[in-house]
Amino acid sequence: MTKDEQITTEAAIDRYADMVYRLALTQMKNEVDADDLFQEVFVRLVSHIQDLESWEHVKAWLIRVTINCAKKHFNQYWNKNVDYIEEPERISDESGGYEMPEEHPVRAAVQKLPPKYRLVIHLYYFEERTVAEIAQLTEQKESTVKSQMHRAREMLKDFIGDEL
Amino acid sequence: MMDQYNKETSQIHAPADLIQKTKQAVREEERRIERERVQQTVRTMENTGTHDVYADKPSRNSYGKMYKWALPVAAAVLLVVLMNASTMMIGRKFTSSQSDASMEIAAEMAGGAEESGEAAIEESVVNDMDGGIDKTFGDNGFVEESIAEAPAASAEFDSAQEGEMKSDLSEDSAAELTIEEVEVQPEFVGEADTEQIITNGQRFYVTGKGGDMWKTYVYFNKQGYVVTGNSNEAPDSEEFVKKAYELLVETVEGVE
Repeated sequence: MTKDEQITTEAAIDRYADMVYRLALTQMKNEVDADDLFQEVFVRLVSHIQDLESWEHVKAWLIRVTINCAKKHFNQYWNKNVDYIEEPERISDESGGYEMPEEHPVRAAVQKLPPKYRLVIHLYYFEERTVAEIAQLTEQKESTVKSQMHRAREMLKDFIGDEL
Repeated sequence: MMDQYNKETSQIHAPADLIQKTKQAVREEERRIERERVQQTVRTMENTGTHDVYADKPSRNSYGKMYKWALPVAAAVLLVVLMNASTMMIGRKFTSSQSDASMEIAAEMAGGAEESGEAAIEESVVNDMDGGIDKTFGDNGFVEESIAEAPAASAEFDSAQEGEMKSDLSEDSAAELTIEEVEVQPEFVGEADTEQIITNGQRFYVTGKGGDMWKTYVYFNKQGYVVTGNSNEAPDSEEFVKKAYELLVETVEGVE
């Protein structure tokens, strides 16, 4: 795929499918919901693709929309009184288990964090976004992002017990 | 540790079937958007196509028709409001203290009838006005009283009404006097007939005894004032000066 590739939705799927899927998993904690979120994000892209001028633009748009759609979905979950998992255990049984805590212990620990903390950790360490960019994507103040990251690291220390 | 996180995360990939399903959904969405765009274009062409004259003005048909009817409806509403307002004005006249005016209006209304058949109505209108007013405006005690005292026949009513008017005016005499500031003493001050009456420390020069008008001059606080009133308002000069003084108190600051 070249830089000059025409910006279409299908091309965006080929380019950023893994990014969106990982982000969706980070937010949803559940493969089925992550799949739905993944599909929703790219279907929405169809009506906005002509407004996006570059691939960087597309990437930022996808991250922001994934976060917003996850937020909406999470609020619905919240209304159904979902509890956080306190003890490490299998994330999902329905799909045959896409990730086992033993296989991905650090991811499993991150998945135990509250959604906002998971998001900043993922965007900072995996997507290598700056605090300023994360603040813009999550529509929060930079100080809030820093505070969330600090608290996330403290909690991970408790979960994992290693220096980050 | 976070390197470990990155490593673990990079092992996760979007499933191939999910990608295919999503691409399918995206194509359907693109087709749907295209269909809607075409339909919208057709609708726009239909709206502009049938009326060539107004081709540049979209949706003129529905908007123009609505606008066409708005003016007559607005005019009709305005007319009704004006008619109601004028009716209320007429109704208000019947409740005023000048009940003779109401009788005049009633008489005019009755007098406007041309056919003989309306003569009976005429009489009944006058009669009804007497009784009707009592009933309709029964809450207005003053109106009741004045109407009750007026006879049913219009001729008798006129003479009685004259007396009523005079007595009414005498009761409100202070309001019927006029006061004006003058720079120069009026001529009547120096006349032989002019009386001087001192009331509440003020010297009033009064004239008009036996004439049509009472007039009095008073100089107060470096300003001269002339108070004028009908001779009917006071039986004598002292009474008139009293009323003039009351008016002076109301009008001029500093007079006690």
